[in-house]
Amino acid sequence: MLVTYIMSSFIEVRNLEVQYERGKKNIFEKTNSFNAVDNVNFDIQKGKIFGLVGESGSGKSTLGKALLAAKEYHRGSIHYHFQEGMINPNHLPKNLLKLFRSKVQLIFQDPYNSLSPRMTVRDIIAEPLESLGITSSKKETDDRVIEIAQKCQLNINHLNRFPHSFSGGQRQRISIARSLVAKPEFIVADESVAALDVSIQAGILQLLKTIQQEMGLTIMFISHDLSVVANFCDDVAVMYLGKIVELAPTKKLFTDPKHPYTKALFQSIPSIHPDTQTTLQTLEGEIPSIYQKPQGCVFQTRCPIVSSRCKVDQPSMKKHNEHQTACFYST
Amino acid sequence: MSLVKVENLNIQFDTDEGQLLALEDVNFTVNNGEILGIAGESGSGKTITAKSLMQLNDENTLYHPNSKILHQGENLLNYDELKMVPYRGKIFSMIFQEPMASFAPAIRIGDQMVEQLQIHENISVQEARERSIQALTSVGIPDSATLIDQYSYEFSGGMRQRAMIAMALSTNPQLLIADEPTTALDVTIQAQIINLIKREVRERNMGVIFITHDLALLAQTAHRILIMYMGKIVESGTTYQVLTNPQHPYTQSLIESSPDINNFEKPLIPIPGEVPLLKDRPQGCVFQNRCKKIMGEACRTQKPLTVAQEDGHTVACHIYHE
Repeated sequence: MLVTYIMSSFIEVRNLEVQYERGKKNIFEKTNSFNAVDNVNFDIQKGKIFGLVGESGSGKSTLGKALLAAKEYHRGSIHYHFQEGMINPNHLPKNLLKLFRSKVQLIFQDPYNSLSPRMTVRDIIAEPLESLGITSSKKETDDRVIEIAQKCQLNINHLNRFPHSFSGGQRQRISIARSLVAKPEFIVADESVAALDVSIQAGILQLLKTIQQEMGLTIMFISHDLSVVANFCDDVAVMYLGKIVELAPTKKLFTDPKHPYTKALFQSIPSIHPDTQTTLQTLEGEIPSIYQKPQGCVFQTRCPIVSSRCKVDQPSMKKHNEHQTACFYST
Repeated sequence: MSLVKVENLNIQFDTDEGQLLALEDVNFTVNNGEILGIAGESGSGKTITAKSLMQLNDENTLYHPNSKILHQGENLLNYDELKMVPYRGKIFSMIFQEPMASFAPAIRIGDQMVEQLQIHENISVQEARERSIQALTSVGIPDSATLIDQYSYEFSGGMRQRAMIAMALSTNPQLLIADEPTTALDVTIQAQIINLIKREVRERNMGVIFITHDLALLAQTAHRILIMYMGKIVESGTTYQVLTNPQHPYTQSLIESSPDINNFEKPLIPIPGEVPLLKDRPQGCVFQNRCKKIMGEACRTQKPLTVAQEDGHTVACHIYHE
């Protein structure tokens, strides 16, 4: 045990709770708050790609925002182990926040809305350098922009153009270049390939992987596309109603899923081989509203093997080798 | 039995940059009880093909005089607006990609469904309402007699798409056109919607045109597949033929770039470059700029003919012209 404490992970998330408040209907009503992320624990190792999957409303993006210091968390802790020291992104003082922002960046989902239409590509990519005060001269900024643009396979002769003259795939490359120009150590990619065609998506994934290996980046890859996650990530966490219900190395998770939710998710993925499936297995119903989170196990309302115990007790994460599952009956 | 037959569909867009070819010699049939899949990247002409069946394309669309869209022996392209009305929601029905944007936000779902039924059928409001409630129930919306009076924003994404399907099916269409019906949805909801569409096809014996960029979805739904690129059908055949024995280099590349859940460690190979703009349509084969099997002169200068094999599998590529 001692060894694991000394060999600390790059990012440690412990008992994390992120709350949102629900609007009050009248002034006499008590404020309602609910946990969009509920008692979540995991580690991300340096240089790994950590996948986060789950249906809409499961809290994936909220968790990503908490890691980016874009959303305050309420309870628990997040610790980044940078070379300069440990940083906890909640309530950072201004000087540390700047340092943090240069080390932790986001790649957005929508390559059409995330780039300002009035800025040239050069200015878009240079913006983090200028606003974080990383470079001291225009020449240095230009050099950095050109270096990263080349890495992202953008034509450097087109840097003075505006985003509208680029296709979706190229815009996503611009977006990636902007995220990487400050040389961050950690990237949150939130559905970053969801809006692209498969033929283009494959290129962006390839680019991300190459850059990740070159720069030693650590990535949190949030996606609802399980086939992509299976292909791209080293470890995968499955979220449901704000909780991580299963976490394992990718190969283990996809070849031997333990949690009934994970199993159900996998059975609903269509296979590209026409002869492998006849009907897709489906989960009944939909993910419950976060306001009506059930007592006991969060998955009880849709679980095929639910028992009376699941309606009372909350299963905690059990670790077996590197495979963690939160289910009383996982096999 | 053939339900709709599309013959030599050629479409040009009249733009400031001239008349640009958007669809080139598109030929296909949809049969009763059959799901026809159309796949290809954005800009390959999938949606334009679907919209031309209902003549919903923009005003600058020019149909070639030899183009035919045949339903019961009649060419729909000769029809005027009034005669097209039944093909926009009654005989043909369409489900759009964005369940968020396809309902009017300020009108109750039920009122929108009743309106559609009353346009196409001579029935009372009461009757139309009952039919709508039935339709909602049949797609698995619980307590539909109450929920019918809600607004679309009160529905989740999955429920909205089901309501969309219910609305499309409430008129008992012969042909359902589904344009990326599950792209915005989670896999679990996607599986529900797909099973629903498959069940309705079986029970009603209607035809479906299923448009998607996701080959895995077609593998699990379609009977036959058309692969489109730059407005041209480059390959067609049964789902099994196209996906297990792809002939066109474009189909092969598309499959190589698609993730495969049964073999998730396989490398994903991107297709270099991008679909050219309509105004940059290449001479010769449309796929030449991105083709890994390009052979030379013929590909650059001559349009490949569509060659049909004995089993009905067709491909338009110079490789097979010997």
